[in-house]
Order: sequence, then structure tokens, then C-alpha cells
Amino acid sequence: MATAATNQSFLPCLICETRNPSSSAACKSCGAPMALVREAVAQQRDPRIVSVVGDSNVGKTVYLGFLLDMLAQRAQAFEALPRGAYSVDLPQTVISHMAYRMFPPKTPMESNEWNWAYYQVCKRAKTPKWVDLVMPDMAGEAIAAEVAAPSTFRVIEHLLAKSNGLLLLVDAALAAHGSAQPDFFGLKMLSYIDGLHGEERKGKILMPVAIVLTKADYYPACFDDPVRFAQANLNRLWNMASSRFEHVAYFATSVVGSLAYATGGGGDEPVVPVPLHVSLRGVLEPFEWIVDQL
Amino acid sequence: MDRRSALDRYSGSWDANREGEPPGEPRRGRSPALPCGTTVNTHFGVGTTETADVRCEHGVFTSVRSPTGTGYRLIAASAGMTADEKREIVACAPSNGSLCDSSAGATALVSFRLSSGRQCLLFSRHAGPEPTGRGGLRVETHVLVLDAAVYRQFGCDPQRVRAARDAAPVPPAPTRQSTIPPLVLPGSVVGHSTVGAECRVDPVDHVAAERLASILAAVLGGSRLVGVVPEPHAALAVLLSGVPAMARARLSLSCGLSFAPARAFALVLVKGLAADKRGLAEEHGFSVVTWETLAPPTASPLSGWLHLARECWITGRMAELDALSAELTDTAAPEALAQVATLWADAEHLDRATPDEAAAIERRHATAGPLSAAYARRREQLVAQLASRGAGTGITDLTATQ
Repeated sequence: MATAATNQSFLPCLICETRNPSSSAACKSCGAPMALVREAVAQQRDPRIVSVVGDSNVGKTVYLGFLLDMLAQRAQAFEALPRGAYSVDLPQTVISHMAYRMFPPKTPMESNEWNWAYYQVCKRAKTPKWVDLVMPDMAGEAIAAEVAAPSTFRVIEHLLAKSNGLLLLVDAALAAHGSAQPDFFGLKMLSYIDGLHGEERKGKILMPVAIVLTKADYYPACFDDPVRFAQANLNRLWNMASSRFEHVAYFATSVVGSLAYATGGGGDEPVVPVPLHVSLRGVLEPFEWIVDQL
Repeated sequence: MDRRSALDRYSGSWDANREGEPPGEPRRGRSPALPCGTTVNTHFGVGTTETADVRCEHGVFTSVRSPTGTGYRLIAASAGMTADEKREIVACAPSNGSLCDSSAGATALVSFRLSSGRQCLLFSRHAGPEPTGRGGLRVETHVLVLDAAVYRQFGCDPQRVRAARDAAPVPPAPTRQSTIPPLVLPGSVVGHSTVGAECRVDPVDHVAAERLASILAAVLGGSRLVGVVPEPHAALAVLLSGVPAMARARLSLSCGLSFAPARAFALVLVKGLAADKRGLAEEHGFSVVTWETLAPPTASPLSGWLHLARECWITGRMAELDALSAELTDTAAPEALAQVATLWADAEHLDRATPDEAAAIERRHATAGPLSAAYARRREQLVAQLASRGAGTGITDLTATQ
């Protein structure tokens, strides 16, 4: 699609298909980086979009940062090449902060501040499978606002409509402690996706959805049986997923090995979580499953 | 429980600068400074005129932990704010890291018209550390939604609304209730349709005045402009005094917030602009101007008005300019502004004019058809001045026929 447009001075945005000058840095309509399109044109292959969504503070940035870093380090059967230096910004930010025992800063709501990653990923096998993956790190607040009132953030609306796979991150620690918030957010999210795929109303939605239980180190039992954990603690989400989605899988993941909490002297200072060391568990598996489904 | 303890139960008071002041007390003015040592005091005094209080819708957009979640969202709003209005507000409201100034006392202001026709004003400030403990400062934004008629009562000046907001007894931001009562702004501030007369703004120097006139020319010319200025709030205070009410009413602006396409308002005043943001702004059709390199405005039909604005800024007569701008509610056309500027200059000169010059002034305005109601009103004042000098009656006759 984009190949034909290169002869002209305009390119359609990969996300919302608005025509933009080919030299633009970002789409004038949705704000997605136009570098994505230029890379797609160079590859002459339609990229697959895998979206990582979840509530604010669920751990999207940390998860995605470590996932991309693992791919770049050829974890297991994967090999990944970042297309453009901008794709390295996110893992670099995450790894650098964690090395200093700090969580990365909150992702701002303004879409022009989000980190986007475009990776050429290969799963080594008898017949290697190459896919171009686009993965943005969106602000949880923006996702929540879009889900609550569709079209608030059109970039998210377009992105999710075009996604080939979804990694839905859910805070297992909160859910295990009895909070209904992760369950409701997940339910809303799947309901929103269901609405976007209106044409598939008669049957189940075919887009693969990996439900990733983050911060599982708080409740290690969910590593043993994430499906059962979801049935018990995220029942609304589980019901929706099994009713409306054809391809759903549950995974537990954990990034931080041990955590300390620091408090300032004043009463107004928030409690600061300090990641003492990194111990990755279950980071790659959801992604691997998604790639297998594509 | 003392008052401070009561505030601590919530996410903080509305304005860090009001810390320690009892709720409802008029806020003391700040004094941001333009370069060249010019100080601009943006204090709007609270008058004594008895005017009915006005109600407006309001809400709070910030990041707090509450039973329904964490992160930036409209945590509370009055019932009159519609779902569509909320959606528009959330799409452009500032979150963490959005304020140009990273200091704890930083503030920002946004004003734009909603699709519903009502005016939305965002007053943002830093309100302590982010509650997630991931570094940075939390941004708290007080959202006001005013009916167009109410906004006009404030001369379509967001700073005047802020002054009224600061004078209003605003309760602390709630975290446990999502619906709050509408905000009542005190009539003592609203009632001053020419509140500019109480706006104490110190003079700016010639260089600053020239640069501000360039920005004013762009605003009045309808250009989309990102102005990189050392003190955005001070610059805005001076600039708005030269923007006719008609133009103010449709002017969308952001002051003190980093540039983002989601906030691509007609006038964006920022403290600094990174190279990538500059490119982004230019791609979105903005002219980007930097304070140090701003050239004086070129000759245009607006020159007369710009000259008037410059003179007022330099001589410290911003209150008079503001009052004149507030009168211009029916037009902001360059020709109309030029006509008013000429009348202003003639009225200024009349006291020391020779009889021949006075006659020339009389002739000039006797034959001119008024292009604005402000011109017609002020010409009557000129007639009175001329009459006191014993001059002719040509203008009087013309006025009488209208």
C-alpha cells in the first residue's frame, strides 16, 4: 500500500491512513511517527501491529522495555532488529532506570511523547518466520480515557482497530488483593475491542489476545495456573474473553525480583517503590504466543 | 482538625500560591518579569461594585489514587459539564511533564472554545510529587467551563477569569466524590467590565514592546504562532491588553505548557522549545518565533493599532489599552482598529493642538463612518473635547444623524 505512494510527496499514516508529507516526523492527524511508514515502505511488507494495553501503573512500559531488550538479545528462538534508532529509546530508558534501581517515569498522556518501536522479528525454525512488529508504549490514562469515551484519543482508536494482536496487561497483585479495578478495566478493554470489531459480531473475534498477569511475583501461585487465577480473581474479564474472543491465552509475568519501599521525611512524600534487582519471568511467552498466532 | 490538616486529606489546594491563605481570600498578585528588567504585575484587584455572582461548571483533572483507579483523569466535575465537553477537555489536558517550568511553583493556562460553544479554561500547577513514586511532579488542573455570555462578562480574558477564580471560595480538590457543585465566581470581580483599569501592569521597555507587537500582529492576523519567550505569563498579560475583545473571544491559547499537537491552539507561549518540538510545530502549520530574534512588525493595515499598543505598553498605560480593547466587542478588523487608533492619537494630541490642527482633527473624524461601536462612543468624547475648545460642530451633526 505505501509503496505506490512513495513516488508522490505524500505518505499515508500507518495508523490512521491520513496523507502526510513524506518528510513529516509525525502524522498531523493522529501523531504517530511517520518513520513507521517509511520503514514499512523500505521493507515492502505490511507490518503487523501488536498493541500493549493496560491500566495506568500496570507495568506496560517496563514489560515492553524488557521484552524488546530480550528480543534484541536473541532470547530463545527469537532474533529482532530495531528499525530505526527511535525503536531503541524505550528499552534503553527502561534498562537504564532499572539499573539505577528506579522505575522509568510515567508515560505522558500526550501521544507525541509516547515511545514507538518497530522491530523486524524472526522466530528461528526450519522455515524462519519474519514479521515486522509495531509496538507503541501508550499511556494507561489515555487508554482508559479512550475506552471510557471512544474517539477521545483517535490514535488509540485507529491503532487498536488495526492491531493484529493484543497484549492486555492486568495487575495480578491488585487482583489478588481483592481489588475489582483490574477486572473492570480488562472487561472494559475487551468490550471496547469487541465494539471495534463490529463486523465480527456474529462470531467470535479472531484477533489473538494474550492476557498478561503482571507483578505476579506478589502472588507466585498465578504462575502455576494463570487461567485458574483469572477465573477466580478476574472473573468478569475471563467470561468476556471466553465468550467473545476465539484466541485467548493467559500468562503470568514478573520483572522485578525484589522490591523495597522508601519514604521521604515529610508526610506529603509518596512511598517510592525501589526495584532492588531484576528477575525476568514469563516476559517472552505471551509475545511468542502472539507471534505464533499471526 | 486545623485547616491545613483538612486540606491534607485531599490532593491539595487549588493553587500552591494560596498555601497558607484562608480559602476565599483574594489572591495576592504575582510579578513575573519580562527581560530587560521589566516587571509585569498581573494582579486584578477585586472591586467593590455590587454585581450578581456568576456560576460556571468546573472540574479537576489530575492524578490521584481513588476507588475507581489511578492516573490522570477528570477526578471530579460539576453536573453541567457534558460528556462531549469532558472528552474534548481530557484530550488536551496536561499530564506529567507538560509544564514548561519544572519548578514546584510552576503554573500554566489554557483557553479554548469547546464544540458546544462554551469556553474552557484550564489552570494548571504543580502539586507535589507524583503519587506513583515514579519521579516527577504531579500536575493538577482546575477546569472551568463558562457560557459564552459569562466569558464576555470577563472581557474574554482568561486572566480575569483566573483572578475571579482565585477570589472565589474554592473547596479543596475531592478524591472521593466525582460530582461537585458548580463554581460561583464573585460578582465583585465579574462586574468589572473594564477591569483592566485595575490591572496594574508596569511599563515594558522599547525592545520588549517591539517584540510583543510582533506577536500581537501575528495574533491579530490570524496566524498560528508558537512564541518562545522567557516569561510566558508576563508576555501574555501584556499581549492580551492589546487584543480586542472580539479577537479574544475566538482566540485559543496555551501559556506555560510544552507544545503538543493535542494542544495546537492559535497562540502557544512556551519557555523553551526543543528542536523536535519545533519541527513538530512547523509541520502543524505554526510559525515559531524566538524572543531574542523577534523582528519589529512590518508595515500593514494593523500598524496604527500596533503603534498604539506599543506606546501604551511603554508608557505604562496598559489599563487604558485594556479598557479600549474590551470595548471592541463588535470587530477586530484592521481598518476598524486603525480608525480607533487614529482617534486615540488625535484625542491625545488635542490638548496641545494648534487651532489649525484641531480643525484638521475635526475634519478627519467628521467625515469618517464609524467602523466600530467603540469608535462611535469615543468620537462623542472627542466632540465634547472639541466643544470645550470652542471648535466646530461637524462631528456632532454627523453623530446625531446616526
